Amino acid sequence: MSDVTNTTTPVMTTDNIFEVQNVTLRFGGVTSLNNVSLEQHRGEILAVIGPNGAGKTSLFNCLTGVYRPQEGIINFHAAKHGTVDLVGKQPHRICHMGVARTFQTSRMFNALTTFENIKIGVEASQKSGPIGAMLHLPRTRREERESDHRTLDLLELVGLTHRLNTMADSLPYGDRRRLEIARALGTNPEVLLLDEPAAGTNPSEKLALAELIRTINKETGTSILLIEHDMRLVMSLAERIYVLNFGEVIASGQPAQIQQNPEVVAAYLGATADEGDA
Amino acid sequence: MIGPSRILPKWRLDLEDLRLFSTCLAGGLLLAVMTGPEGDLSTPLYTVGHALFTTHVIGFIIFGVVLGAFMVYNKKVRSGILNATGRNWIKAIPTNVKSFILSSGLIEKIIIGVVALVAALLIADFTGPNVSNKMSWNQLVGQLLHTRTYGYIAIVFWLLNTMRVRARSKDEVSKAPSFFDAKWVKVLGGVLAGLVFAACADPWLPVRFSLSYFKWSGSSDRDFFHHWTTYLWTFCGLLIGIRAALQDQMQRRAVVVSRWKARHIKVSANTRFALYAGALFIAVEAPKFISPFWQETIFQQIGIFCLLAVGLNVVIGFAGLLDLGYVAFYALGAYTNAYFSGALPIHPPFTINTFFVVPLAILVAMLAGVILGLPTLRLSGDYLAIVTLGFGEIIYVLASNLTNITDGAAGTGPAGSFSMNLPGVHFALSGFAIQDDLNFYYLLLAFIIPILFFFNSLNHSKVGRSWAAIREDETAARSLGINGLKYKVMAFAIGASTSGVAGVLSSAKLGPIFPSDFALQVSITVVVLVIFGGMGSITGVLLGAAFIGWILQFLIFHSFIDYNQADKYMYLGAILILTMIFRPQGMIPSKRRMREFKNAEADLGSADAVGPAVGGGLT
Amino acid sequence: MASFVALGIFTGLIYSLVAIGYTLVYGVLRLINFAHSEVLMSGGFAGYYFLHYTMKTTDVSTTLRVLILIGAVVASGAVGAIVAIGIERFAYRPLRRRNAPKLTYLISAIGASFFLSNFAGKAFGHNPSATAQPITSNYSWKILGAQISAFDVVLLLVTAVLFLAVNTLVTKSKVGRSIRAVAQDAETASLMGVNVNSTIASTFAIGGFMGGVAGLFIAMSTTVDFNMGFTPALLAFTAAVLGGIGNIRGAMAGGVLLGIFMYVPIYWIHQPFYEPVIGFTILVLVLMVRPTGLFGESLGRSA
Repeated sequence: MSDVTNTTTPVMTTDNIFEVQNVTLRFGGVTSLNNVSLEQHRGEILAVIGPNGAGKTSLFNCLTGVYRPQEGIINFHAAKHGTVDLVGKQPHRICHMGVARTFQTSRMFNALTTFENIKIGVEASQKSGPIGAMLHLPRTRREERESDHRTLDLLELVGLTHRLNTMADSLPYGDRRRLEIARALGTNPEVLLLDEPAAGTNPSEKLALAELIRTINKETGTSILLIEHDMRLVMSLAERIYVLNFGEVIASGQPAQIQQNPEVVAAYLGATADEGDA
Repeated sequence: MIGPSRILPKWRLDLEDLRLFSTCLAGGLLLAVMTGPEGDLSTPLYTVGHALFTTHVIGFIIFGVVLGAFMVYNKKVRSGILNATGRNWIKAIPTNVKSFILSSGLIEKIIIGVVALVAALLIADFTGPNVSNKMSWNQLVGQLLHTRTYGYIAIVFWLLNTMRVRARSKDEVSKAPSFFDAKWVKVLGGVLAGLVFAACADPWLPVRFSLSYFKWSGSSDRDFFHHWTTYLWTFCGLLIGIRAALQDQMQRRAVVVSRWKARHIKVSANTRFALYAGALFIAVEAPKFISPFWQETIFQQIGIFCLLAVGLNVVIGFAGLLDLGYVAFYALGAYTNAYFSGALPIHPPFTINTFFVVPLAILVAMLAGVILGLPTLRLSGDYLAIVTLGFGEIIYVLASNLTNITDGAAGTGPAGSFSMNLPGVHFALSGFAIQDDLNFYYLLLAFIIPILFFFNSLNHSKVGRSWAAIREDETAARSLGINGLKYKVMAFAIGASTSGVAGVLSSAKLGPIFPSDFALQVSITVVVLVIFGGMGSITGVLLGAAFIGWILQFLIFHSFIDYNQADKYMYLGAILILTMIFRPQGMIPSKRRMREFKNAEADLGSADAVGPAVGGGLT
Repeated sequence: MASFVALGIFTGLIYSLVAIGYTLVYGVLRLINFAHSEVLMSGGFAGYYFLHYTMKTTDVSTTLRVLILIGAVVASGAVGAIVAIGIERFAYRPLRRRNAPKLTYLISAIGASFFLSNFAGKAFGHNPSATAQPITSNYSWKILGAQISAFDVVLLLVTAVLFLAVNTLVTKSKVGRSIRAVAQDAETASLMGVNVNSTIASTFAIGGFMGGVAGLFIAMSTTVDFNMGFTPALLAFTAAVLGGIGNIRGAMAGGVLLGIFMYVPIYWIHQPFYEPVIGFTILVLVLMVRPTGLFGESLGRSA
């Protein structure tokens, strides 16, 4: 079952992969997410936009189990495991179910090489344990070989093969973002959550990144949920868009519709000043 | 030393200088008390006064004054107030010996070789049995003619040669293969090297060989060892040869893969393998010949230190956690052994051979590790430190007071010793002769070497990478599907199991077990071994254990200061603080750990699994 | 039974004093100060020497006894504070300046603890010694079936005064405000003009003073010894966790509760050496069931 290219075909009857229903998240007295509902179709590139502090990253953290929302259901229709409510699940369990993510500020394992960074993601789901590793049992060796190959494939996909043995902390910023995507892809996700993948990259890197995201979506069939500030990137990539402001969904729809939505424009005009200095 | 400064210094001692100076002076006084005679509470303040008015004080006050003056001077120089061109001579000395050797020409190489040879001869001489006598010329010649010397010579040349190979493999890989690159030559050379080693280990090998002596019929333990070491070295030589012969193919196969693998196979496979084999050779052969001081140091201290340090390294170095009650698991191992050999007041349903107690002790220690780790490791990692500290104390208290189970402070009966009586192989630990120590040492070696191999593999496997990921950024690691708790508990339990094994081994050696063997001090000593050597680096930890073990023994035998056994903990505590302040990665650090520390200090990720960063980081 | 409860309460008061030191440092630095046990020890030794030189004879008037006692409290508190500041200065500050990872702090702390206690062993000898007693054991009262001695009353008084003082200091004074500010967010506090270094030093000093006084009482009730700080400090940490680490009032209550929880079982099993065993069991249970302690964390950050 060497699904190196991971061409999972949807087997579920429903075509939604995520159904977030009425999720509310509070920190003390601050409401970070208020009654948020959204759904993502399988194989879709969905974007969540909104001004700074609108709760986008909080939403990601709820989806991946870092935060536990006080109210609401997050239904994940996995091809492998059927429908699961992700609320209250541990982050690593959620990852094994097929939800992978990147972080807003790139969080590489800096003392490891590019290769090792990706390999960690690939092999986390493998079965072999410490005894196999100590004794070099055949299964461990086979799994090591498999994950080596998969890692090389991923490196090629994101175009970092030449950086194979570079330490992650000495990679240029754009490469780090690509590495993070590759690392998340290594876990064989059904849906990939990208938290501002283009933050801090230059225009040409942005183009390449958009191309990469499209390729991933098309070739592996992975659904992509995207947080991004760069409007041009979002409009060119996303099939549908949700707009968050002050922890609430204020609009959703096709990119063209969103662009014309007065409420969104208002929210963004209020926020452009913040973004200017970001 | 210090050259004439061209610009006249503008000296103005400020408060900062005064503070620096007084700190140094205080340090001198502190050292005076540390190395002086022990105080006594019944005559208060006599203590410090007494220490201060012995000869120490003069030495250390002078030391403090000189150090203070130097520090102040140094500060002035560095801040540019003083101009000291004379200091430049220090820079002329190359600091990196390795690069010096690699970049040197043929003449220099020969010089280095001769120097190394002389060094080897000197080592050979000083480790010889006549170390206490004044060396005469005749003795020197006698040493030279001793077969053991050739062993050292061979090792030195071998290492030099592999270093040369290493240097060549980088630059001249594309050169046409020579006669020495032929496979059969390599295999043959390896076998010959093995035979030379074997001959060094057993000078009469050729004679025995001709008398077809190769059969298991040892009349005594010593003969048994001569047999098996002979086989061992021949076998090693064979392996080296095969390894060398296959190296080309291995290089071709290791096209990419991980950095570690690539480096391991491509560049330095020979060097590494030679170093391993050389280390093994020294570890097996040297203890037979070295001076009694070293024999005692190695058999009684360094051996068990190594085992404990390698185990604790999994917790501190690999997982980035702190275990301050490590010796509790050691105690569990020891009492498990005592229980199953019927040495405790409570009797087991059946007694079993000590060799079979080892797996049981591993189980017990692991179980205790899991029970202790599972609730604690869900929380911030500093709780683990204090809970293990408490656990160590509890085990100590229970062992001392549960008289009807452990015999209390009076000590148990003799715990089970290792013995094996199979056809052809007779092995037993009994009595206190040096031969017994040697047997124990080889037993220890038989446990340590596989453990080294296992833990090294572990560190370079999925498990080791997961530990690295958790150390650096646990949130990111969890988002990649790594179960943080599972891996932390795993590290804790694996570390504990090694301690359990050490407990069985040392109880088998010591016989009766006393609770005082498991005091907190022992735990902290093991922490020092790991921290000083370099957490995460197996080589570092081993050398750290050897060095600290040696120092502690050295202080007992060569007391140039007022030293008693209890003082060592004071010095160990000082080593811990100083290491953390000046070189937290240890003396021989692991590259990965060193990078992590550097990154963590630059706010790039973390370097441990202990929890959120310490607050108030700004100054 | 009642006397065991009383014993628990009064021993617990000593733990409370020590626990405040743990809690303050934890609140500000998010760090368990492993070297706090040696603050206890040095306070004990300071008290020992003070009493040794002032209580040359047992024939001392009551007024003088009170004065000596106050002097001893101040002396051991001051020495405790100095040692605590020294620990911060030499074992923690070089690491804070470098922004070192937490593991190094823990190791440095345990090294400092180990060094200090064994240095005391070297300088003052390894044999325990009894302290001169400024409090006569002539008076005692029976309350609710429990025997209360003059020592207990003095302990209660001193603890109450110190606790009130600390509580006022932390909640009302300028130093207290800086401490709470640094506990909340050191970076912002420093931007607002709070001197983080001196604030941290004063945190250690306050905790050190309490620890030193606790050391004095331990010295008076048992003996002084280079190793005297270890077990009380471990139990005091348990008290701090029980009350919710980072919470000053919680530490106070935690100490007393721990004392009661510990001595009531000892009344049943008649084995005094189980004291640390029970304390440790309580620690593990609290960490398993309610790691934030009975009263939750405070002093700035929550959870």
